[in-house]
Amino acid sequence: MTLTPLRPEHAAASRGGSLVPWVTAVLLPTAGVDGLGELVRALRAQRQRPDALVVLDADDPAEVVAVVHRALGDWAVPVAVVERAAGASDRAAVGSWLRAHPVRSAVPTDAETSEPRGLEASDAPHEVLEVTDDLLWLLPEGTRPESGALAALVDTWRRSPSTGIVGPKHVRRDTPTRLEAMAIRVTRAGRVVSRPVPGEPDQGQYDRDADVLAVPMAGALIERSLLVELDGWDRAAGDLGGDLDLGWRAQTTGRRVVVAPSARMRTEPGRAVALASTPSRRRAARRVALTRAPWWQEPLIATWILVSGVLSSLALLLVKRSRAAWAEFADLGALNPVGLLGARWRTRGIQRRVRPRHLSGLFAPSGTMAARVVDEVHDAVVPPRAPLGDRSRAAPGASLRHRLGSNPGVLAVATVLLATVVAARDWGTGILRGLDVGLVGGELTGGTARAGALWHAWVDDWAGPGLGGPADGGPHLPILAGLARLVEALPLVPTPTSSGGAVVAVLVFVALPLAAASAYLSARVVTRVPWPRAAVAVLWACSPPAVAAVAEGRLGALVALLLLPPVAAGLAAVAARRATPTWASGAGLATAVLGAFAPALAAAAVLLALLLFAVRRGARGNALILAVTPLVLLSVRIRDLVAEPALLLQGPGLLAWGTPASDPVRLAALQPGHGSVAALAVGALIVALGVGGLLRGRGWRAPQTALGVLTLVGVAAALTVARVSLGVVPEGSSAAGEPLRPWIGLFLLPVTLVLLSVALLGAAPDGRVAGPARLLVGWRQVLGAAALAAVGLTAVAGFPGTLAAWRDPRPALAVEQSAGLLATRTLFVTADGTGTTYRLLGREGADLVRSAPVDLRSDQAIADGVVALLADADPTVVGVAAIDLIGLRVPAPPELAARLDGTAGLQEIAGRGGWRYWRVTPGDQLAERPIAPPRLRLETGTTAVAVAANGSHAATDTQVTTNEPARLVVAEPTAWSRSAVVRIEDRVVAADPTADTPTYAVPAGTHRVTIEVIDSERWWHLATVFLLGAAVYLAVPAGRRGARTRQGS
Amino acid sequence: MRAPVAGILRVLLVAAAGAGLVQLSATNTVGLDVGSGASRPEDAVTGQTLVSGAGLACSGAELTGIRGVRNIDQTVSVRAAVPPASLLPKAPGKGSLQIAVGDAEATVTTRDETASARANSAAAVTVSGSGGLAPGLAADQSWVLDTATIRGLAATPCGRGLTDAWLVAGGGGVGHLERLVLANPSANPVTALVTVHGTSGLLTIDGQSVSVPAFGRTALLVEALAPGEKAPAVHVTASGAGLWPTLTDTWLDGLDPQGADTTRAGAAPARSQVIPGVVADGDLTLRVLNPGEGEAVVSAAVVGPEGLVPIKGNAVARVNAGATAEIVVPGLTDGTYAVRVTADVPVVAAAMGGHRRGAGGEFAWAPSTVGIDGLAGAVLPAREGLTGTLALVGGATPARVELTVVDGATSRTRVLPIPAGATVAVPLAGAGSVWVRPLDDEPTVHAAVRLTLGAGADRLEAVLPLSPTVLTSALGQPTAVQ
Repeated sequence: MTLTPLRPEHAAASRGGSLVPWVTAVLLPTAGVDGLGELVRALRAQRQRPDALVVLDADDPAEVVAVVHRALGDWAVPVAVVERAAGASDRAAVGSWLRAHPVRSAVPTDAETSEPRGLEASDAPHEVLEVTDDLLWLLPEGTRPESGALAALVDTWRRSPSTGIVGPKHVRRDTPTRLEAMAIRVTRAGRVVSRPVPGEPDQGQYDRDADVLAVPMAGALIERSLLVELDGWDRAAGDLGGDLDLGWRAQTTGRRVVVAPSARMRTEPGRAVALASTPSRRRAARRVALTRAPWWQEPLIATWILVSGVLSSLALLLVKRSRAAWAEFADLGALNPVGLLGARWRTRGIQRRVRPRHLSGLFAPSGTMAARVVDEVHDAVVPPRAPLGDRSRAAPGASLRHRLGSNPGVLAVATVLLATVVAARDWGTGILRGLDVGLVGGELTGGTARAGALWHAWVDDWAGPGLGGPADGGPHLPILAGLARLVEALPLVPTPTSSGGAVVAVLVFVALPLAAASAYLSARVVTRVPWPRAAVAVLWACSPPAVAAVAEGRLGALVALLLLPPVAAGLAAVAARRATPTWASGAGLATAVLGAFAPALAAAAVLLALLLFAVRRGARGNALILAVTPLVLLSVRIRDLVAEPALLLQGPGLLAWGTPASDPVRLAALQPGHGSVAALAVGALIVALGVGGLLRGRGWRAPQTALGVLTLVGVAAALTVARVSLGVVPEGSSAAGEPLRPWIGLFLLPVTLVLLSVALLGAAPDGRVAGPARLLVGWRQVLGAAALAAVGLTAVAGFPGTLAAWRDPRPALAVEQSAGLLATRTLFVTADGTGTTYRLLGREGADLVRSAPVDLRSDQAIADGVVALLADADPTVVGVAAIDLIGLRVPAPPELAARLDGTAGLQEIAGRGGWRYWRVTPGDQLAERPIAPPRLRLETGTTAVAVAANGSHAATDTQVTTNEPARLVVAEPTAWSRSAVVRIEDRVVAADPTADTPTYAVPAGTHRVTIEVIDSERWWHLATVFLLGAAVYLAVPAGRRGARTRQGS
Repeated sequence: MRAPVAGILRVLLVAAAGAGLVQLSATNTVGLDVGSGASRPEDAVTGQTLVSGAGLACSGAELTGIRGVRNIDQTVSVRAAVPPASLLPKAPGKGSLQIAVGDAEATVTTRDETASARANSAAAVTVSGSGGLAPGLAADQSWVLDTATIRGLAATPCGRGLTDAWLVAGGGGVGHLERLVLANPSANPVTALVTVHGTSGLLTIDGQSVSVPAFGRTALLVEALAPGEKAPAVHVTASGAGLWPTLTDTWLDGLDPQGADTTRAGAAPARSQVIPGVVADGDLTLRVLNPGEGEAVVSAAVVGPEGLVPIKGNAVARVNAGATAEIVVPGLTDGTYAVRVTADVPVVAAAMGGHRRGAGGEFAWAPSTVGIDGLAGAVLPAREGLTGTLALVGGATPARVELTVVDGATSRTRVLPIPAGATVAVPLAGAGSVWVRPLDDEPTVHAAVRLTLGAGADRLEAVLPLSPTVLTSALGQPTAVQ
């Protein structure tokens, strides 16, 4: 409410009537007297000068007086110099002075004052409440009022009798166009909102904010009487907290706190005005909010502070804004109950004249803080803009479609995608069902594998298909499990039947385009010129090993296709001392993932990193990060590698089953097998480009020399691996008995990458290579033509292998019972004249991809039972292995089919897909029996009841009821009991040592039965997951921008 | 333009080194075996594993068990044995051999013992061997009746379930009574469809569907399915593990019993059929069924010890589709013959011979057999006065067989040459079982045992074809795979 009109700009202050208050400027020098004179001169320059000056100073009063006198010049104003207690803060000093001089007689006449002029004695020192026009203008050191500041403050004060405190606008002393502070804005929970943000340009955007909760003490005009009534600042609240508390209490007593934007103070940043720059200040603000809140709101606000503080700090931590996160977390210190009680005690007795809800308009809305956190996250996550030269050459302001359409990387990926679609024409559209059920063909074995199954295959001591065995889950399983879980959680997408299979299918479908994208992005380490990078990316995706890897479903090689370029780029960046720790962490993480799928390549990368650590000064830290990250993350696997070094050459889909040793000449043409003419042409093209690239380096110190050596090392390694045999192909494969070898294509990938890197180096214009510009242009054209030829040849030739959507060979009934509570298995028998093989298929799916030969000792242990079933019609094995269905591959010896036909409890059902099936129905004469031999059954002398099995390998958590002592029989091998814990009512029970299958005594009654397959390396696994999270955290390009960018990288 | 000397040298050096590596690898073929992969198990090879279980079904007392038909008391002797261990490809282990007749069981556990049991009820008899007594298991049942209405000697092998069986026997008009017994050797019920063919073709369009319980049997009267048919042939198709069918033919001519016999299913339809062990003393009747859909032209040849026997009369017949026809070969002297049947389409055949003695007589049906491929054997009935003669017939070329005759704990094995186009008879006096294994690759030898009880005109005759046995499993040692 405006009661007084604004005074004209240059109108002098008049002392007449009560409208012109008495203003005492309280000067608060703290660090010597240098700034004091300047401050006094600023007061002298005011359009409305203060009526008295009080200097509260701890230094030599004589010197202060001298300085003041010099500054006053001809200005006759009462001045008092008061010595403040040593170490007392500004607020404490003002408080002390005020308590001694609660009324206008404040300018003392005692001994501390030296030569005061125009001293005015107080005529009514104890009538504080009646003197409402006595104002104090608080001026700490570091701030200097502009000439109209006091006049604006006074005018603002005069406009409303309820105004008790008026604050100025603080602008930066050196750049007055930028704001430093205005009001103190907090949320209801006491979170300080930096509004304006210090340094923000002053465009008058905050000038409409009149009523505020509090203002900083610096430059504030405060009624003396109000300050006396409120007993000054709360000493324990500190500077910011004290100011906030003072303003809040003033508002509570019915006095307004307003900001006068036209009153400008030139303030040194971080000196005069207390901002929320330290944890203690923020905590103090929180405490003020808790203290000032009604008692019944205090627990709610405390809870909110706790929850929002934790969540905010976690979110900030997640994006690597650790300092901001710590600041958020440190706010929780405000919840100290002792401090809160103390604050309430000290400020007791305040007469509350305004209801708390009437102050709601003065608080910053809580949404502003959420917006602030979002801004922090955005700032941390969104990468810095790339330099202009690296962006698309599309015209600025072009549409997104145009920019995408002209981006070489996008075009390269699109071209390879198109080539993939054309090359996969023989697979048919039915292949798309693989997105639901997975793929089969080549190295892909198919099967139903959900995230949980894949995870348990990794962690459980007893895992694997069929009857399982001591687990040897590869490190790729948790990665597949994580991706499968992601697929299962996708909204608006039906959960695939086999989420793990779907992940592999997606990878197969888009491996080549993704490989192109990966190569394009990674090639930035060689050159930023986009078109040669795009050409090389296309050549990488169309290289013979890449195409063969897709056609044969070689998962490990597919992952290598994606990760080898960034790993190599990381190594190159480290070697060139251009890598940041974040980059090195990312490359280390990529190496670790690569090691989970293709350990040989990861080992090579780690060796190179260690070599850099040893010989490359200035790159040792990052080289060590790159080397250590995969070693730590794969520590479990490394232990296995030490025990069985041959694992180094294996991986999912990385074995050649029964193929002869590769021809060295073909290997030199980058052919992993008997490639087509098109593959030979593409391989020769890449080799030729590599050789051409070698030609283009200037001098022996050019990087081409090192890459040439690397090429030779890669070729030598590939030729050596081609001679390696890892044993023989086991039964069940058409190549049984033939040598088992590493897939040589994997080892051709590094050679291909190095050759393409050399070729790309030849196209780099940034001075790394020599050669006349004319030739340079020609080389780029050669690269482009080669890429087009490669993609065309790949598309025309098609994929050499055939993949198809996996189809469960079991009838729906068996699939349902396998996945259901009975958890039954199907026994597949093949007797084709070359031998008899059998396979158990249950809910525990296979590894989706053929890896090393599986340890099938458990399955082999029931061979006699299978013989008894097939030859003697003895169905004992069906109960032992929970077999509910027997499949016989046709054609089969008639006697086998006849035997199965004649076996008690077997009933033939409709066959399909080249299999005849017999369903198992229990043939015993028990009063109660399950409909099929279940995985878990509760047997008494007269009954056999199925017990629900929820998890893999009989894991369960269920209730059983029996009227008499019973036996819990588990259809797993005897050795399983050493890897599982069976609890009945939380009591661990031991297996009957005399039983042929794991059997446990169950007393009469209703019991909770839990069966858990042990993870004896639980801590290893947990540590690995934790370390993986840490590695991801370190590798995420978030946080302060300076930490994740480096000039030239 | 300055020549990139370093680049050229670099290319040359890398190319030379690369070529050297390739050349070195091409000339050095030494492999590096660093794996620990399992080698292929030796026992994965098929056929080297002895079967560990075998089960046969016998018809039991065939003259009982048909509702509405008077049961005839009879005692059936069932005998089962396994060949000497020397005839097996591998040394067998321990085992047991069991004959189950209803709830009664007869068990032997030693190889040189012959298990025997008696059955007189309308129940199937099961013979099972396990472990070392499973390979080569053979069994048969026999009975003798000499009553006012039935007189005859019958001997039939016990066998595994068949899903498609052709039985040619019976008929001849008034006084003939044919009983079809379907025994189920398996633990599951089996459904069968029985159809009867006659001289006019298929007599039962839809056939007779019957269900045979597990380890049980079902008996039918063929006369009821095809009344009055003089030359019937029965076709049995069964589901699942199949059935072991036998057809028992009794002939009462007025008040004079003219003989009785039980026959098993013959060989599957083929354009060439061989019927060994045909007993003839006078007429020999060859019955041929043409199961196809076109007319068949069938010719018959009778083979004796001296070779082909001249046939008086027409040895060629036309057989309509789905019909039976008979060729009667008259005037044969008392002896054991073999009959060769040749047709332009697959046919089924059996022969009946015998003798008449005044008002009475005896006959024996001999089914066609498949050539012996592997070890075939027969367990001879143990009856006083019963003599057996092994009748073998070869093909167009000479052949050799390994003949083993087991008498108690002793066995005698010898190589027996089989001349081309002639029969060979080997007396089996005192033998408990006889085992024949060809020494040639081609399965051209057929064999049956002629059983004779008594002598002269009162003698009783029966023909017991040698049954193929199973020694090894088609499974091999199974291997678990993934």
